[in-house]
Amino acid sequence: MNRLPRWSLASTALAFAGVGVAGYLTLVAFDQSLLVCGLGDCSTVQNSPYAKIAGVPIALLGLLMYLALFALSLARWRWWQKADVLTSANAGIALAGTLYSAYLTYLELFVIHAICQWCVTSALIVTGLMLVEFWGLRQLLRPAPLSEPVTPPPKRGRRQQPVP
Amino acid sequence: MSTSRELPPRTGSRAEQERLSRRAQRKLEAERRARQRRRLLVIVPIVIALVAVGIGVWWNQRSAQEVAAVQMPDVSKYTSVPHDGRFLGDPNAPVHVIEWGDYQCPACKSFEQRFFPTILEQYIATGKVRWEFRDFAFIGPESARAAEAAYCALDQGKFWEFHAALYANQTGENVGAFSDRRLEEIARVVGLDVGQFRSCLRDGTHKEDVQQMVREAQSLGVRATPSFSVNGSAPFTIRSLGDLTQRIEEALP
Repeated sequence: MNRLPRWSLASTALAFAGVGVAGYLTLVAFDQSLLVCGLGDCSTVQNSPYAKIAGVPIALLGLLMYLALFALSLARWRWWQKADVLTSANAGIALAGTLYSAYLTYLELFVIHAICQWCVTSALIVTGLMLVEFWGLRQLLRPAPLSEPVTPPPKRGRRQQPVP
Repeated sequence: MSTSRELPPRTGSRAEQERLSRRAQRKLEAERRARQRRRLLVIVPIVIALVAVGIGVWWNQRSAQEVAAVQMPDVSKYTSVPHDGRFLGDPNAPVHVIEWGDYQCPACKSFEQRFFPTILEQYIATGKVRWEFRDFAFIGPESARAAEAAYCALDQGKFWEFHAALYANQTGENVGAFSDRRLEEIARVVGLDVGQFRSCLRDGTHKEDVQQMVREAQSLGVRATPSFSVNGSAPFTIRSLGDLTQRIEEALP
């Protein structure tokens, strides 16, 4: 089996971490039994009118995004010959996630006046994912023939060398 | 006259040239297609991402504005039991419970809407508990303003109606949910004399009362909301309704 490039493994690990963080935020969003208010915490952010889109918690949308990124990462492992298309899709999703996270962080800082550390963690994860995916896309789209796998084909070069 | 005629006739060379030319063309075409594909694989996700984020931001702003419409909750649960100012229930009830809350606190809203009806039905309406609400307005300027507004409603004898309406119209913290204009709208739906309410709020009639109540709560050890005290106990927070009912049951004779 060919070795997968490190950026692909890093992307899967980040997507997995994102699933964990967004999963926790989704649980908090649906947790109606919250019974204590402290200063500027996640509940403040998650109870703001900006925490939902058409009644759907943004944390849930974030969880779906990370699940899609994770699933596409795994699919890329399985079908490496389609890596360019799958990476392009992942890069697009991660870019949308990063831009939306930037908007949400702006809301936290300047509109809601509370910072949710888990939301910031998620923003950092998705930004990292976006950078990794675009870097990977750049690697995959280098002007080498697209059909040629990025991982070096094992030992073909050596066989062609003339025997002394 | 074609140039090829001037070249020395070399058998196979022309065919060879055509073959090479076709191959070069195919190669060029393949390279062009590959370049186009590479470009699409970069541009398409960026364009889709930008469009998706644009729609998301627009929709989010729209949703945030939708929840800002003032609504009046059902307040019959408060008016069906004896109520006097900040107190609910029989003045001679054996157990006196104080709740410290902040009208901007989502946990206070959650307690009010999900658990308080049970307390009201099982302990207050049955004469076992006399309930008192005190302000611990700590989350921000709109907390204090909402608490002052509730005081103004108390002056007009509608504290509990206004109290319930504040929670029903809580849309977030320091986001304009309890701006003066919106507090006036809430006063209107509650049925207060809006002119009197406006001057009460504008003149800061109860500003010092709210500050004093918050200072008292701090000196008693209140640090979060909702906090409770049963028959003068030290303030405590709860993790479930059972935490509170257990304390009430223990205090009952």
